[in-house]
Parts: sequence; structure tokens; C-alpha cells
Amino acid sequence: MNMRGTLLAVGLGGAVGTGARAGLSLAALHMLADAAFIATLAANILGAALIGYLATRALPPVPAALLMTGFCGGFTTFSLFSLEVLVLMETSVSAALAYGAVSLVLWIAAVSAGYRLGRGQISTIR
Amino acid sequence: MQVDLFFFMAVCAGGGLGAMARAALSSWISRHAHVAWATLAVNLSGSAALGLACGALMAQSGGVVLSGMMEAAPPALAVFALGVLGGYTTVSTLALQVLMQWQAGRRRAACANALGSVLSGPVVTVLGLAIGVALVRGA
Repeated sequence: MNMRGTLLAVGLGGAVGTGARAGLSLAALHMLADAAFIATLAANILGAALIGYLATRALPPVPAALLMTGFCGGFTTFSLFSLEVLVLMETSVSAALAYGAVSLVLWIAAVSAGYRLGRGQISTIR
Repeated sequence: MQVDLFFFMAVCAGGGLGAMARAALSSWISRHAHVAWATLAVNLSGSAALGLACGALMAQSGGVVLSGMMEAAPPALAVFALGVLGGYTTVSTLALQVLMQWQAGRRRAACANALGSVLSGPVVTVLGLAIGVALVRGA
């Protein structure tokens, strides 16, 4: 498959992933107001877990572009995370630090869990 | 914020374009440097751009408070923040690269990548904010 096909797959996956996260964020903004950053955290954790799992599947280039670079990349967001740290800092420095630290720990835990699940290192059903 | 189908489609389209820009930039940078630098460049440029846009808006509306900004954001900023930059920047790829570095025994690189990204993201967003405010006030 050519470069253009791969790039289009990234665009399609990115559009769907972004739409899913935006839906989550807009719902959170409506229901949680000041705590809407929870939606970003949840999307980033889920996206990290999914990409960790997909990384073990040895996907061909186009499905990898669609699902990993596209969907997971679009579903997760680093720019809103950066902004949310600053928004929290306006009211509480410790809340901002906690959000940053908890986010980082949970992103890494999630990608690791997804990866281990894909490798069969976590048994779900016995 | 008024959410309709057109707004939602614009967010999705923006996310698709942002993701394609990320893929194109990443593949170009990773030809010259380790792919972790490509992800860092994408995430920091996206964070700075979001700060710039928010700063410009804050200066225009006369306020300097970020809290409540997303609720009151004009649709264009919401499409840019949620869509374009949301699709452009990524946490999943960053997390996967940190895991791969760790598993390859490059543990210091993994820690530096993870901590460096999380610490520098908000810093470049502040810089973007300051530049955005200065640009609008100076104009």
C-alpha cells in the first residue's frame, strides 16, 4: 500500500477518534463543568491501553495507520492536557501537580496493561 | 457552547487533518532523529499553538482567566482545540514509545521522555498564552 493510502487511513481514524473524544468532552463539560478534565484523562487512559494492545497484534501498515496512528492518536490529546494543567493551576497548584502526576502514572499503567493483555500476560478468563 | 451536527462534523474533520499533519511531520522528523523526538515536537508545538489561540482570545475579550474558558469558547476555538489540535497531539503514541524505550532497557530515556513531555507541555502552553496576549495587545 502506498504512502497516500496510509495517510488517508490516518485521517479517517483520526477523525473518528477525535469525534469520539469530543463527544466525551462535550458531555463532561455539560455534566461536570469544572471537572470536565476527567473526560480528557479517561480518553487518554483508554487510548493508551488500546494502543498498547494493538502494538502486540503485528498489524499491517494500513490497519496500523487507521487504528493506532489515526484512531488512538486522535482519541487522545496532549494539548488539552497541557491547557488543563494550567486551568487547574489558576485555582490550586497542588491540584495541577496532582493532575499531571496522576495522568502520567495512569497513561503508562494503561499502555503497559494493554500490552500485557495482548501478550497474554494477563489472564482475564480462567 | 452551541453544539450542532455541523460543529461536530467540523471537529471530526479538524481531527482528521490534525492526525494527518502529525503523521506527515513524524515521518519526516523520524528520518533525521529518534521517533520520540518527533512525538515531542508534535506535542509541544500543539500545546504552544493552543496557548497562543487562548491567549489571543483572552486579550481580545479583556480577561486573563482561563477557568470557564472552554464553556464560553467561540465555536472556531472549540473546533481548533478539540478537533485540529486534539487530533494533532497524542498521548497514546507517547505512552507506547515510553513503554518501548523502557522494555528496550533504555530506562533513563523512557523516564526523560515521560517526565520531560509532561513538564514541558504546560510550560510551552504558558509561553504560547503570553505571546498570544502580547500579539493582540500590541496590534
